[in-house]
Amino acid sequence: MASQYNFKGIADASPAEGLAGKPHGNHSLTRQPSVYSLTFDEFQNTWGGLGKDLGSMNMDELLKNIWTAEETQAMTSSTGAGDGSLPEGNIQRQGSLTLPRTLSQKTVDEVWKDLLKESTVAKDGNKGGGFNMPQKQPTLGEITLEEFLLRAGVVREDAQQVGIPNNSGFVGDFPLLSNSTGLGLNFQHPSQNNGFVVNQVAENSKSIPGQPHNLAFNVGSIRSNQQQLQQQHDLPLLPKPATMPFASSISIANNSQLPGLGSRGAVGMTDVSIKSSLVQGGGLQTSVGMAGTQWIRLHSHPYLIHSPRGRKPGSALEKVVERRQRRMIKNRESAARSRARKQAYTLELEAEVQKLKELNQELQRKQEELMETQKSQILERVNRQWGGKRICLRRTLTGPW
Amino acid sequence: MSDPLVVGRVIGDVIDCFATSVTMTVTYNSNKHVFNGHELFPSSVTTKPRVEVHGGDMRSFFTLVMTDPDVPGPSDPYLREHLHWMVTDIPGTTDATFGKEVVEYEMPRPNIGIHRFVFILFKQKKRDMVRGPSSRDRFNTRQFVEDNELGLPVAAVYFNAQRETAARRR
Repeated sequence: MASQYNFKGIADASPAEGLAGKPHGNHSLTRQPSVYSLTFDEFQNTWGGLGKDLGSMNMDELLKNIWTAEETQAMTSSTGAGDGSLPEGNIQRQGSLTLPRTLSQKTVDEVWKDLLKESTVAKDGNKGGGFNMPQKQPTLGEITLEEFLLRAGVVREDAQQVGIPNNSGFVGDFPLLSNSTGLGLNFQHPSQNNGFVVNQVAENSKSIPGQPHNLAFNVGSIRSNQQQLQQQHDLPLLPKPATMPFASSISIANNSQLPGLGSRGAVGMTDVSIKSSLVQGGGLQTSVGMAGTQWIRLHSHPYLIHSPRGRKPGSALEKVVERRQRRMIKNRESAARSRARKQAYTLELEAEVQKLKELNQELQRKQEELMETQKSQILERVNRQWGGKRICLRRTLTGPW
Repeated sequence: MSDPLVVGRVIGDVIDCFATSVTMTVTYNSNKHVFNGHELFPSSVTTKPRVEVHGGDMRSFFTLVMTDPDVPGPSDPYLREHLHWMVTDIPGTTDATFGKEVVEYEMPRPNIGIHRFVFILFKQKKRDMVRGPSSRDRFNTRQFVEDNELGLPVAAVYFNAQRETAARRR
């Protein structure tokens, strides 16, 4: 579709922008074939030891598999580029993303069916056409992971979360634009998109923390998506306090924004918006270079969550996230200390054993020597006493006759 | 990485890398020998240990420092370090009882987490030149060494200790 086409163009155009903005140039944009650009079929075949047909998997499991696959790929493909962030990222990633409760329990198949239904409806609304966008293959096997997640995240959210409070944990101090045209316009300019999104958020959220925050950002974008959609459907936007439950607000569609596809949130889009926001936000590290390639990376630096600007009183959500990360870091350090303790103990024990063995040997040798000297001393004494004649037998008495 | 002092981060957090030139043995209650990284119960270390200096000669003098770098807790030691004991002017080949106890022995009372308690031995340039610190708290071994021109340590050993009733080996 046109909007989608635009989007892709933007995505390609803005990596430079995004790169410029990101303080943390860890990720090589040259890293390629992202897991997300694989279709389901390819994914299943390549990363195949999944053991289950992807279709019947839960969304949660699908995500896990994708992460594993991406990790594997990342490990093999980026050797130097990953540096410290990669291994940490891989571990740290786990706690940071959960699907909205509504999504995670569904299987991929179900989600796909719903997607087809809704996209048909949406398409009718937007395009007047009755079927999916040309670029999206109508079969689950042929859709790329990226698009699937994209559409899944958005559509799900849409249906369920009309009344969900705005997430105020949005990133950065974006200029508020008054441009609140339809979704299609979002693609025109990345900055505009951003502004649009931010605008939405700003209007609807009570407080926008100035602190770029990975997860908060994601959530914020979701919120903004909802708002956008809601606007589209003329639903009243209710600014609500950002105290929504953490679980429901974080989803893969984190960075969702540009609904050009009729769906929001999702990997590709996210990247664009993230990039623009990153440029503006400044403090956020890890921009996403390419559409759909590194959104996971965003979550791989919890260590760097605290921007140099210092922590501003953010939403409760942000605090929860921070707390979680801090705890995780503390746990890691504690584990490292424990391992060091254990290792030091073992080393010391081994050294002791060695010392004791040597001492033992030494002592035994001495013992031998002592015994030898003792024996020879005794022999000497005995010899002296008998003068050398001791073996002689002499007759001392003769029997009477 | 084969030195327990390095692995246990004693070299790093408290002192700098050095080469052991004197053998020091620390023994509590005449049967509890202190080995690097071994755990002792607080109840076993209530009284000052016997610290023997096997090295030097009667004309060389040594200073012994015992600190806890993990106060109040190892995960956030913002009160690093706490000085437990300091004895100066220990003549070589003797033990700590022959020195001057500048800071009285204070029994370890680890409350949070597993603490390291480090014994460090320095060789003095001459007798009667080491000044005790003004306070046990916020002690900095490196700074103390610099202030008293003690140079690198000649021996060090440490043990671990946690709360008497803490869960161990869970």
